[in-house]
Amino acid sequence: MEEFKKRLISLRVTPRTKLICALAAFALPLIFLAVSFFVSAEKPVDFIPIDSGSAYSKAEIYAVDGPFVQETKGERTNRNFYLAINDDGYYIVLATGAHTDLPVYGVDVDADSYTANGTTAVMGTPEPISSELAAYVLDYINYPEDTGINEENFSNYFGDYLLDTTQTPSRNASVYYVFAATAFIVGITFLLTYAGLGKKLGKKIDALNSDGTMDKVAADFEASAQPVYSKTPMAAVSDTYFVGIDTQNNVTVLPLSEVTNVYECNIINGQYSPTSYIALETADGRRVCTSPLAKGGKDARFADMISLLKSKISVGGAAL
Amino acid sequence: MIIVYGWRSRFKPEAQLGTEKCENCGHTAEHILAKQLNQATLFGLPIVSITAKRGIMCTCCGHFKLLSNDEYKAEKSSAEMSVK
Repeated sequence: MEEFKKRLISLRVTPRTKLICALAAFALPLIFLAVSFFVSAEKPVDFIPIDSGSAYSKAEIYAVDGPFVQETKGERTNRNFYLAINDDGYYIVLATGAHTDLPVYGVDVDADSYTANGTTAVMGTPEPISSELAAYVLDYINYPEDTGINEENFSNYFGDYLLDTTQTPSRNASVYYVFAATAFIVGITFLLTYAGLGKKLGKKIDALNSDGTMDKVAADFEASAQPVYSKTPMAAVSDTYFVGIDTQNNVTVLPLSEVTNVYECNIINGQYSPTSYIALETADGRRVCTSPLAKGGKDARFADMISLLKSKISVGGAAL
Repeated sequence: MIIVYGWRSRFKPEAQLGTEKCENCGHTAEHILAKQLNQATLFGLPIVSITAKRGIMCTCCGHFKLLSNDEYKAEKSSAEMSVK
């Protein structure tokens, strides 16, 4: 009986579905974590302000001067923009987060001491300097004295790219952590749902066996020469019995000797349903609809099951 | 804002063809001339309807025998004639 019960549950909850859920829950997160590891392990190239493309870059700087402008969203500061003095003695434009630990010129260091502690490496992604940002830089450096730097010669002094230290591979990798967590949650949810379906169906089968019905059916399936177990539609047929399962985990057991007619049915409770069911009519005038085929689907296995049942029933249906 | 949208399939009966034996279920039952409408819905209300199929449906088992446009029109006009 237990073996037969497991076989029936496997029609509803297929091992393949469980495997897909398990892969989604465990393998996909591992893949995403591996990708995030490779992304965050990317080695930076030297930052060149005149032609840096979009590769992850590194610059050695002594100190930062500013911030000369802030990028805000609502009341929150997203980025601060500084002028940084690099190890070649040139200025570069640097974007940091709302807070930075870099030494600030005029606050932490001055003209005499800014080189005393050596350089600090800053990493980030190059970003083109917009004309609006360039205007802010010019306002900042030309006050209070005009340095002679203007829109025409701006790129000779600052290049065309700034270094955005908020865009680092570890930050970019965080999106893969989100993917990994999402895949894990979805996979586990489906896995638990499917495990729950199996348990519910098992309880229904046990309830049917309260008077020993399922024991008799199981024995008949074991004794049958060629019992048929079908996942599409969810049904099993022996020489004597038909067992159908629907999406509400209802189990229908009918002796084939009682069935007088079998056909595909799309009328449920007097209403048309796009889902097709196997309808079995019994000698006492009942019609039982079970083993649904998903919406709008036409499947040869469904037609084969109806043909098989028609060939096995004794009255009416086979003659249709 | 949550927009509840969906897709459903409905049958629109257009004429009654009388009782005849169904080739699917074997019952002698009412058959109707119907067209299947696939409807896009918003908050449960149909917004767009597209006619997917036209044919004859058995009201006992829902078996749907597809008809071409011309066959459908001919069946419909003959059904209307018999009513008059």
